[in-house]
Amino acid sequence: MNLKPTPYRLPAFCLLLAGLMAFLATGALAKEPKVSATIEPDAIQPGGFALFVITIEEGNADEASPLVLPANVELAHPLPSTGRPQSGGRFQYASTITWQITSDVPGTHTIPAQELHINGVPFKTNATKLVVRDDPDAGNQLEPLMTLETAKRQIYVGEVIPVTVNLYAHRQTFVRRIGLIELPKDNFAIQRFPTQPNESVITIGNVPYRAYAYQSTLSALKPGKFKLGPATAEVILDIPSSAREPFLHPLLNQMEPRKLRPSCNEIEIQVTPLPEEGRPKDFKGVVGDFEITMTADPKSLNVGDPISVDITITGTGNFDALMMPNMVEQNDWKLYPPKRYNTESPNEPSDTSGQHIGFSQVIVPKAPLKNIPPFEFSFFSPIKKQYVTLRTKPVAIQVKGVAPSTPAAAAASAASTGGVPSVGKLPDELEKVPTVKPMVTDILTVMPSQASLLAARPALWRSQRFLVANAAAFGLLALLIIGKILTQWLRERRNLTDAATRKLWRDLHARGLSREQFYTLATRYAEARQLTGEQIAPILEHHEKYSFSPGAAETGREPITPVEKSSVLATLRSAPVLQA
Amino acid sequence: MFRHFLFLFAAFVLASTALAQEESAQTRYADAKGAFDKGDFQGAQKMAEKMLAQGQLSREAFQLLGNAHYRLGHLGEASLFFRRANLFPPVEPEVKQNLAHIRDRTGHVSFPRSAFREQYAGFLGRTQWFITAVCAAWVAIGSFVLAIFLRRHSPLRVGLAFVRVLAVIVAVLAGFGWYWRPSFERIEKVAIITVPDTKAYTAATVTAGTVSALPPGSEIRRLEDRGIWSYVEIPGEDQNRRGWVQNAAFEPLWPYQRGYLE
Repeated sequence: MNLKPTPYRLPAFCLLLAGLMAFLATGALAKEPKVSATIEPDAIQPGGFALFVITIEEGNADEASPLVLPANVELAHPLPSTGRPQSGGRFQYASTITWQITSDVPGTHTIPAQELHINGVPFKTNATKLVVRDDPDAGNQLEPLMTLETAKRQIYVGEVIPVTVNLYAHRQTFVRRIGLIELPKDNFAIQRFPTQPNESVITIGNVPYRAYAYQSTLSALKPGKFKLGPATAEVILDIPSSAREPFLHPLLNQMEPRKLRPSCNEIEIQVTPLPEEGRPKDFKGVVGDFEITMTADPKSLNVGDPISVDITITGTGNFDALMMPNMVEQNDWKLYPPKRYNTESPNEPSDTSGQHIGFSQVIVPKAPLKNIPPFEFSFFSPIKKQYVTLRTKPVAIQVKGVAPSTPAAAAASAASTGGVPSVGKLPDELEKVPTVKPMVTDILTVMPSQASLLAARPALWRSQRFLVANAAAFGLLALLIIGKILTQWLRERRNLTDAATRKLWRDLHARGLSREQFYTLATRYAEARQLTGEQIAPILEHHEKYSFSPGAAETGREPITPVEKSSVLATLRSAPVLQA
Repeated sequence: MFRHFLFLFAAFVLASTALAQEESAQTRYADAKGAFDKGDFQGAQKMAEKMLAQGQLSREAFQLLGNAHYRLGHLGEASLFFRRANLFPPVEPEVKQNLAHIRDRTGHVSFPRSAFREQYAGFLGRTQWFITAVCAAWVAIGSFVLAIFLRRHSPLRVGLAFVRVLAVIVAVLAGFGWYWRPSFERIEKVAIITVPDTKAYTAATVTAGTVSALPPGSEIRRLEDRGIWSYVEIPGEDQNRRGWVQNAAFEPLWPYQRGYLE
């Protein structure tokens, strides 16, 4: 192979290189960022949501600028989200900033061009338009419906009836969340609606709907004519934003999330009071229709042995008001307090078709007996519209042994036959009734309506200000006390017997004294201290001379010389005191 | 002049920020309570936890979290948050009853404490007790000093002596209240078991012998941390026991700043 360079290879290579550089330069020039704005969808219902998207090709915004919106258009969420758009499963070199916007005012709203900076250079998007269309037909067709149903419109006080709230959502919509179903409870006791509904699909007027049925029960609290409802619930669902294509599959259509409170009907309910006529004495407000059965075990036993009696009540009605049925003949029995238990409860609160409740009670025969007397209870039957007293059948048993003949038992027997027997309280056991012990089965959820925020603060005794303030106050008090003590001390000192002498001595040291004044003071001092001795005499003489001799008056007015003063003071200091 | 304006502006900004924070906390608490009332216990828990995470601590939020955790079946956490709520005055009977109910359900163990002391000290916070004690002490000192300055036979002296005795009694009682209130130092090492089926072992391995079962809500005191295990003190009927417990099984009673307890 000939590898020698041909003469045209070098220019061809240079040409290729130049072409490549030109291509790269063109590519570099093409990388200038492009900014555009879009709204998806561009038309919404009032209260609907749309996405305002700014797409930046070949660049990233320096920082998220605040969005400039016209009046009547507002942000659904204050913060934007950023991302990278996908094209054919691959990320482009582009970024997006997305805001969720909403508007309640129908019309066309122009969103102005938005300015943002890319690498410090300002760029502007195009202006966009958001159409808010109030299309009642489209909206109504797709908005959910809510209905309220009760089994009866005329009920008795205390009668329990099922109540159902149905929510119908159009098949073209997608239900995200259904809030708690609420009903006004002014005149009715309404059991809480379940959070999970029964779902089904129905067609109303050729329109397919998904039906969500929430079932519960209610009972009237007082007689009268009352309105029940309307039921309310907050529903969040995705509705196709384009009303033109409502029957496209949801996946193919643009969906728009909406928060709605569907309207609901009211029901007028006539509540009748329970009749006074025929009301049994032991009636305790139980309304419904019930059946009663009883079992007992053992059936063969001795006097004093316990028998466990189980009574089951089945039916429909306000089971909460049910109590243990009473034994008809209690004289020969000792009865212990009954216990209530639920045997089987249907899952749905409104399913009153097969409710059961059980009571168990321990009874003790006090004498040989052949059967357990019936138990009975009374209720009002809304079906029969009259009071009914149900009674169990007597249960045959065999009790062996003899009746106790102790005085206490006899007294008990006498008491039982003479008056109304008391359940589980024989006279000899009256003092043994145990105290009721609390049996808490759940927490208390009573909470304050407002929260008081806690504040973190340093310990007071570590606070410099606190310490300084206290130290200052303490110092002030200490000064006051010291001042008081000093004053006291000075006062006491002033009141001492030699106080006058000490004052004279201080006066003797005063400056500018004349001879006459000085010797007068010196004489007084010598007298006060009862000084004696020869050295005192000249002082007394000088005092006589300067105070009383007319010839020495002039000299007496002259100031005393320091030498003379110190000499006299030294004499006074050293002079002996006259001994008593 | 400009300085004064700057100071006033700063004070206004601080006051308005505090007000806004208080308002936002109230809104959050109301939302969380609303969610709890509607049966959204998980939502209520998240909202209340967000409050705490943002430093908006409140006794009511602790109580709400206790209730939400109980409803969600987390008895250990419920006990923990009720105990945290119980650290602040006034002592809520609901919180005490709920704690007792959880103890009945789980059988958890706690360090012995005097109900009287807890009840008494729970009337006020530590700082309030301290201020009461200090004020009473100053009244006693002040009345003593005043008596010094009065004449010996002044009738006021008797009154002052009465005030002095009263103030000393108040100071001592407030001192007890302050001392009996749980301080950070006293509960710093206390932790609550939150994980069911927790056991204390004789060594830092699950194959070691067991010391005691620790039902959720049990109190322990950490003595030493070693990796994922802690050597702890466990309350006992006759005497406290010691053992090793995995760190993941408990939460500290007070993981927040010490200043909140003052």
